[in-house]
Amino acid sequence: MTRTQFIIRRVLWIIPVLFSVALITFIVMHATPGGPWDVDPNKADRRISDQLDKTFGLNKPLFFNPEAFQQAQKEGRGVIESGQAFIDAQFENYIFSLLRGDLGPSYRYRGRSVSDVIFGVQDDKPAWQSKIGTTATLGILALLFALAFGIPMGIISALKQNTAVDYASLFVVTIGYGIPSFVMGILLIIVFAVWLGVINVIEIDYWQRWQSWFLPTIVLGLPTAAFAARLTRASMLDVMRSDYIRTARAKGLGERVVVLRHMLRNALIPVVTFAGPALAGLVTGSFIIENQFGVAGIGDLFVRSVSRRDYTVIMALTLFYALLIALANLAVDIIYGFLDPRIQMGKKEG
Amino acid sequence: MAVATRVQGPLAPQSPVATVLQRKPSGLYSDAWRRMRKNKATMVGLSIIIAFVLIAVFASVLAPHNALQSYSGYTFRPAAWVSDPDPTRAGDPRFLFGTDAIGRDVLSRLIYGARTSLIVGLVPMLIILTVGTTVGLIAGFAGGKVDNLLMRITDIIYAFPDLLFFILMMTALRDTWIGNLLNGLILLFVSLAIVNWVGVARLVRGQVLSLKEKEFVEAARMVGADRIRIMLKHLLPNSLAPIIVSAAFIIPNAILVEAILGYLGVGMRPATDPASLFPTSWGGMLLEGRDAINAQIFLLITPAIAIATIMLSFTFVGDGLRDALDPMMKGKI
Repeated sequence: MTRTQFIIRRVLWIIPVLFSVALITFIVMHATPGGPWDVDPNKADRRISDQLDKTFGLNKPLFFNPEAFQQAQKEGRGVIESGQAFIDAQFENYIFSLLRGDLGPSYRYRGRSVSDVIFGVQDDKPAWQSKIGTTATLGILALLFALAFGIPMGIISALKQNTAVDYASLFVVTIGYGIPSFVMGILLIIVFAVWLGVINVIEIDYWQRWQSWFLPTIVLGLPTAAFAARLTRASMLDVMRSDYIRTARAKGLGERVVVLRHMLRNALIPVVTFAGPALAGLVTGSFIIENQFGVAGIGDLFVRSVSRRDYTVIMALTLFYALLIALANLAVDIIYGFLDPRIQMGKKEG
Repeated sequence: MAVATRVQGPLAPQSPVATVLQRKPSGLYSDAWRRMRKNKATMVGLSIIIAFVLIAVFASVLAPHNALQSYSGYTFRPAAWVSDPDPTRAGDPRFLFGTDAIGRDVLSRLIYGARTSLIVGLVPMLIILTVGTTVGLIAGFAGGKVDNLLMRITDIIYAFPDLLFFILMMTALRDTWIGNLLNGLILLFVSLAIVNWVGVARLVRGQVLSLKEKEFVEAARMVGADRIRIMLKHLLPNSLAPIIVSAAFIIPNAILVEAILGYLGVGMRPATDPASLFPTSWGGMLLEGRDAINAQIFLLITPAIAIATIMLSFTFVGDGLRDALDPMMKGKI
C-alpha cells in the first residue's frame, strides 16, 4: 500500500468511526432520565412538554418508526415513501440533518440553533469570543506557552547535560507531567485566588483583560511544555552526538553557529511536527480547566449541556471532539511515518 | 527478553574468574528489581504508595472520627492551630484539619477517601488487565477477522473523548440499579473498564504479533504444544513486562478520573450509612471544598495535595518500572 492510499483509507475510515460515536452518544444520552424541558420528569408540565416534544420531533421513536411505516402502507404510498416513513425517527433525522450541515436547534438556548450557540457571538463582541473561539484562544495560548517554555528548557538541559541546570529542569518537567492539570488548577486557584487574592472571576468583562488568561494558559499548557522539553532534550542529545556536529566543530565553526544552525534545525523537527496534534489535544483536553476557571468555551458548554440534557449541543460537541481526536491520531501516524521511514504505512502493527 | 549470560564449560571452581562468572543466572524480574532499587525517585514513590495502601486498609483504626459523624456546633472549624477570639470560630485540637459544612472531621474524611481512591484504582485495573490481556492474546494469536474486529473497536473507543464518555455514563445511568451499587462506584468501575481495556488489548496484541514469529514459539509448536499452552505458557509470560508497566499508569488515571468526576458533581454519591466501607471520596471532598473555598480551605487543599502526591508517586514508579523492565528504552521518551 502506498502512503497516499494509506492516508486516503485512514481519512475515509473516520466516517464510520464518527457514526459509531454518534450512535453511542445517542443511546447513552437518551438512557438518561429527564429530558431537555426538565431534568426531573415529574416536575415538567405534561401539556407543555408534549407540545415541545412534538415541535422538535422528540415524540418520534428513537431508531425506527414502524407505525409511520404501516400508516404509509395503508395509504398505499410507494416503497421509497414507506421506507422514508420507517426511518422517520430521531436518530436518522438527526444524522440526515447533520449531513445537510444543520446541527439542529438548541433545546436550552431558546430560539438559537446549535451552530449559533457554538460559533456565534453576542452583542458585537470580537469573533474569538464565541464559545469555540474562546476554547481555541485558550488552546493556542497554551500551545505557545508550552513551546516557548518547553523548547528552551529542553535545549538548555541538553547542552548542560547532568549539571544542576539539567536537574532543575528535570524537576520542573517531572512536576509538569506528574501532576495532572486538573489538580494543578485547584492548587493554583487556592494560591492566587484565596491566599493572594489576585484573581476574581466574578468581575464583568473579566476575560477581556489579557492578565486573566495567564493562569488557565499555564495550567493547561504545563503538561505539554513538559512533553516538549523532554522531546527537545532527547532529540538534542541524539543530534549532539552525530557526526556532522563533530564535522562542524572540526572545521572551526563557533559554538553559537553550531548550536543554532546545525543542532537546532534538526533537533526541532520532531518537536515542531507534534505541535499540531498537541493543539488538538489541548483543545479537547481543556474542558475541566474551562470549568475550573470559568472560561466560557465549548468544554464548559459541554459540562453544562449534559446536566441540562441539551441533546443537540451534546451531540454536536461530542462529534466535534471525536473528529479532532481522530484527525490528531491520523496526523501522529503520518508524522511518525515521515520521521521514521522504517515504520511502514498500513503494515499491521500495534 | 533479558537473559543473563550463562557460563558453560570447565572452569576451575576456585579460580577468581569462576567465582565471578558462576554467579547464579538471574531472571528478568530479579534483574529489574535490582535496577529499580537504584532509582531513588522510584523507591520514594513506592514507599509513598505503600503508605497510602496501609492508610486505606487501616482507615477505621487511623481515622480519629467516623467520616460521617457530624458534630453539632462545630461547622467549618479551621485547622487545629488557628486561634480566634470567638470560640465558635477557633480551631479545635480534636479536628486537626478542621471540620466541613456539617461538622464532620476533614482529616477522617481524607483518610477514608484514600480507601475509596485505592479501590477505584485497583478494581478497574484488574478488570482492564484481565479483559485486555485475554482479548489481546486471542486477537494477536488468531489474527485475521478477530484481529480486524478488535482494531476497529479500538479505533472507535480511541476517538471517543474519554472524559466525555465518563460524564455521559455517570449522568445517564445514575438512577438505574447499577448506578446505585456501592453508591455509584460500580458504575464508575464499569465505565473506566469500557474505555481502558482497548489500550491493554492493543499492547498485548502488538507483543504477541512480534513474539509469535520467534523461534521459541516455533519450537514449542514443533514439540506439539497446543494453542492454549503456547498462549498461556509462552506468549503471556513474555508479554508480562509491558502489561505491568501499563498497570502503573492505569491506576493513577482511574484515581484522577474519580477526582474529576467528583469535582464536577457526577462522581460517587455521598454515603449516608455510617458503617459504609467507602463513606466519601477525594473527588467528593473536592466538590465540597470548591463550594466552601472561602469558608474552609482545608476541605479543598488536603485532597488536592493527596491526589498530587499519589499521581507523582505513580509517575515515578511507572517510569522506574519501564526503565527497569526495558533497559533499552532508558533515556528515551
